[in-house]
Amino acid sequence: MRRSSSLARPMLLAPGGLLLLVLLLAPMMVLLSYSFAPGGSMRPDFSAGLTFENYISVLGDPFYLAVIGRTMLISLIVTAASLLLGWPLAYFLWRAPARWRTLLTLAVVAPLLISIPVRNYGWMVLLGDQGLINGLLVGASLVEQPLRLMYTNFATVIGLTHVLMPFVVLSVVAALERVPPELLSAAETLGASRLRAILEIALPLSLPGAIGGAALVFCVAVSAYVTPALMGPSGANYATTLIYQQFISTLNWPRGATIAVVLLIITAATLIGLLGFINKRFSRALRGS
Amino acid sequence: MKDDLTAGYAASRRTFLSGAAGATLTVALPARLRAQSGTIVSTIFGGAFEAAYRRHIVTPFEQAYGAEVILQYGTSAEWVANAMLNADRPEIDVLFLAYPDSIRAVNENLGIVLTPDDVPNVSELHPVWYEDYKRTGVGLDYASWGLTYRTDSGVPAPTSWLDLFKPEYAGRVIVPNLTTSGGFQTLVMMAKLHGGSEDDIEPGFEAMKRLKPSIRKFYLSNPEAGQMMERGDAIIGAMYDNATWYLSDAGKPMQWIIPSEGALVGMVSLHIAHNTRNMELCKAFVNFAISKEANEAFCNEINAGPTNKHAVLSEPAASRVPALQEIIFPDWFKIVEYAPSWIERWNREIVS
Repeated sequence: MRRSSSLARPMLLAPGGLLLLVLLLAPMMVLLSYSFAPGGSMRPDFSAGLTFENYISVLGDPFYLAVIGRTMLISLIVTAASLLLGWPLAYFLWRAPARWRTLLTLAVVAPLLISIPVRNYGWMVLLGDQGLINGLLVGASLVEQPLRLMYTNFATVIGLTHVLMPFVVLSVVAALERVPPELLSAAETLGASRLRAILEIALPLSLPGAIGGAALVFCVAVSAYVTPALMGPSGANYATTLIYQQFISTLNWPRGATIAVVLLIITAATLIGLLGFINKRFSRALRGS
Repeated sequence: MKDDLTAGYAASRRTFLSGAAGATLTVALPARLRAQSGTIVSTIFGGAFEAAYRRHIVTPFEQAYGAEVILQYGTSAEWVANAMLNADRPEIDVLFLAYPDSIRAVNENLGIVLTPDDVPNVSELHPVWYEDYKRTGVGLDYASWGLTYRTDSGVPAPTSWLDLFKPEYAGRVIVPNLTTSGGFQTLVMMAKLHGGSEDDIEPGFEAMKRLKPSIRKFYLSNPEAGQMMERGDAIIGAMYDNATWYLSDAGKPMQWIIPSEGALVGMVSLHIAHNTRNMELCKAFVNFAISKEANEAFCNEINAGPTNKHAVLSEPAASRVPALQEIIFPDWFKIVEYAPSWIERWNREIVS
């Protein structure tokens, strides 16, 4: 009996583990190996051994670094915006009367049911030079020329925040579900204002959910392709569009692989650093209270 | 709708992954199944182009030969990558490609030589659509590269490529990014208009730098260009003719013109992979596609130029499609050779 139960765990892990191994780890290894091949070709040639030339040319080139830096900055802004907009929404959902909650949750999740290009096209109708917003601004004589809203980094931030905010809302709601609502009532009974009760009780207790949601948003924002390509400025200005260009247009697979590996490492480091920082602050705050 | 970089942006990340990391996974159909039945795998861009291609070429061929033609979506670049990686056991039997990827395919020797014995209709082609592919591919139809403008914009209609620089259009001009066939053609044309050439691209880059402040966006695909014109984000742009007719026939206030210096040309071509398991059927398919009847019906529907000398266009295509003499042919072999360095320079100097 004991033996079969000790086998149960690996057997439960096997299907998912195998899937990850075959579909994620193996291609990643191929990608990693490409980054050490001489550049300029789509057929890596390892006959002369491994080389660091791609890493030297990518990390030593201000253009590539600027693209990666811009990607990180936009993703961090999107993450912050998703948290700032998503948390109050999640709180509102949590406090809403039960009969409304299904409907409200559906409203939050609804954007996820629509494909990303369609959601982006919706923004184009709003943000375009002849779009709704510019139509109102020009019509009300607030501006003479339409504002350049589309095809900017600002548009990328808007598009990504809209697409990704539900991740924060859902994971914060899940965290708040485990908080007894009486805690807030108790705080108010003891003299705390509603705002103070929210900030000092609901907010810290929801942080694990918020962090999980933020991590998801950040990762998906860094690896987003469609929104920066459709709504962002011209050219390969986002890490993903640059990687795509290296693979598809310049056919420099080793360099594309190198940018992908560098991006992966920076993303992982940012994420680990950020989560570690917030976790530490959070656990200290909890102990202190 | 040539070199439709996007057919679905929805599919972009997926196709990127499949193209790059798992090219062998792209065609899920087992090889055994293909070999047994009369089935070949080919490729296509989505949209209006596909509907006409199926109606006039694929479906009649399937009926005539009792065969099945499976069309795979994506981009030319992905199909060429797939063909190179799977050269021994091709997943795509007949490659349908656009510039510049069709020239890459010729350079990489991805297609068999199509002889008049194997594909009799090659003798009916204009030589340019056969010899230029070193006989390893055949042109299917041509679309012309010129200027599209909004007729309701209140600014004068363009007549020259240099009109793109006019201050009346400033901020509302679109030209393609340097990744599509049109992007290369526009850059080369700008070089030629300013004393340069494919070998001396410097004047082209100088001109694009001067044009940059007027540009609303360096667009990524023909559908995106059409949408930007339709939404009014742009009022003039370098575009393909049939992508414009498609919109103007749907009632959009748009017009396409041949600039006074001449139009350029986009071509899609068919290439048969070496080592395909169904060689005879592939040859029959290519022969059928460039036959007078199929070529004529297909080109009439999409307002494109036929490659078969005997194909006759009817109205409105007849008066819309520029004759071959009105078209400037850039040297695509040189463009393909220089493309990687041009793109790196373009990234830094034009779009960043």
